[in-house]
Amino acid sequence: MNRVPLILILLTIGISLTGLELFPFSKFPMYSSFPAEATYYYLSDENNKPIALKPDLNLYSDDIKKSIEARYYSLQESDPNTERSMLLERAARAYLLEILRSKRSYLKKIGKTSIKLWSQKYEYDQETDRLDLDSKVIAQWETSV
Amino acid sequence: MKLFQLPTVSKREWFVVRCIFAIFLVLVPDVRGLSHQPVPVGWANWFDFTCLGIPSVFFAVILLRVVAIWFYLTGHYRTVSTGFLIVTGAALNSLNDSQGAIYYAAQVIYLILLGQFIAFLYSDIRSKTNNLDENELEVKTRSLAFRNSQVMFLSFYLISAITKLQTAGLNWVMDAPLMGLQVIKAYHMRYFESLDSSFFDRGLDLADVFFDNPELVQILLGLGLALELFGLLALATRRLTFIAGICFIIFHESMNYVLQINLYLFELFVLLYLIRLSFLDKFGKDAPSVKSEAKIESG
Repeated sequence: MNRVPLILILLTIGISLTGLELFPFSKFPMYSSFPAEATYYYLSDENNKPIALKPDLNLYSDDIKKSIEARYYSLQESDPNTERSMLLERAARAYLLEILRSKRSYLKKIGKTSIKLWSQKYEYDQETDRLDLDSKVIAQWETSV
Repeated sequence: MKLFQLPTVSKREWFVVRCIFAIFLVLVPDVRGLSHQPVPVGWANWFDFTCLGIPSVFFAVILLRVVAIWFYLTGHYRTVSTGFLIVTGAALNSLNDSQGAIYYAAQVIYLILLGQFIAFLYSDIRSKTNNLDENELEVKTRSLAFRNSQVMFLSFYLISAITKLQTAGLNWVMDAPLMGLQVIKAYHMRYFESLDSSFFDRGLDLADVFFDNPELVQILLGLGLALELFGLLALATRRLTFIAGICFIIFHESMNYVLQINLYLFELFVLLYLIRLSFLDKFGKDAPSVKSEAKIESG
């Protein structure tokens, strides 16, 4: 204990690596792998014009991604046999509904009556040095503002 | 030369470090209105923290936390106050993280606080079992709390590095050029936050640098991984700790630029716990006391 608290280090690492995510212990999995694809999400209006997330909705792009993916993993756990794309759409719809509920006043302020949630996936092929983009709407909802 | 000696920490440096650190204990997630845990994380799998979402309960907890932070700063009831801060911090953050997005920065703050709590607890037990001089015990507690803070902070990097190796193995370094995709993602996400079109093109240009120079990217990320893995060894000497601190600042600044993420909190902790604010001891009336405290510690 006097010089380097080895027991403390070992316990911290041990509990963290269990993956139980018992705050403040965590595996800290940020950027733990570099897949050959990267996906992010954004919101647009009914005319496909992007909505500026921060000034218009007080929302960060990271929050959208993390929230959709957390819902997706939760759905996948309870329903492991359903196809990935279907679960992702369900997760996206659930998230969009929550956005409409929690950001009602912001949407009213910018006068949007319908919003679309887009997914953009970049894929890179190292052999051909080719970068592809797959962009699509994964959820859409009318508001009652 | 003895390695891994406990650091000498003056009263003043420890106070300034605690004051700065306490700012982050004041900043808790605003959980008012959170009435459910849609994606329960960690403790939230066993406990329902939604009562903290009731505004009156939330304010009561915040009020108690302010009192605990005051005790933490003044040094009174520090074991109880840090324990309370850790428990309430865990509850508030578990509820917030259970909404779908996990905020890892908060976990690092509370890991450091946990290290300090263990040092305070150890001191309390020691003071009851040994007949130590109060001043001597205080100096040793301070050193131990500071060392535990350093250890917990550097353990975060070590855990993160082990997770990388567990997930991807050495491919984490070999696949490093694919980080170019993460660069595009990061810059485009910033674009959709602000609709500032310069982010869009810069992301694509910077990603090209990654795709076109795979060896260079592998070397740089390999160095970063080594720094995370062996950072704890830098506690061997004061000079090594300082050098590791500078390396961590460079590492974070590069990540800030490349991935458009905000790592300033981590840089601040590097400054407080690795580079250190010991220069503060040179100023003011009580500067000579530092020497006598160092004597107590080495003795």
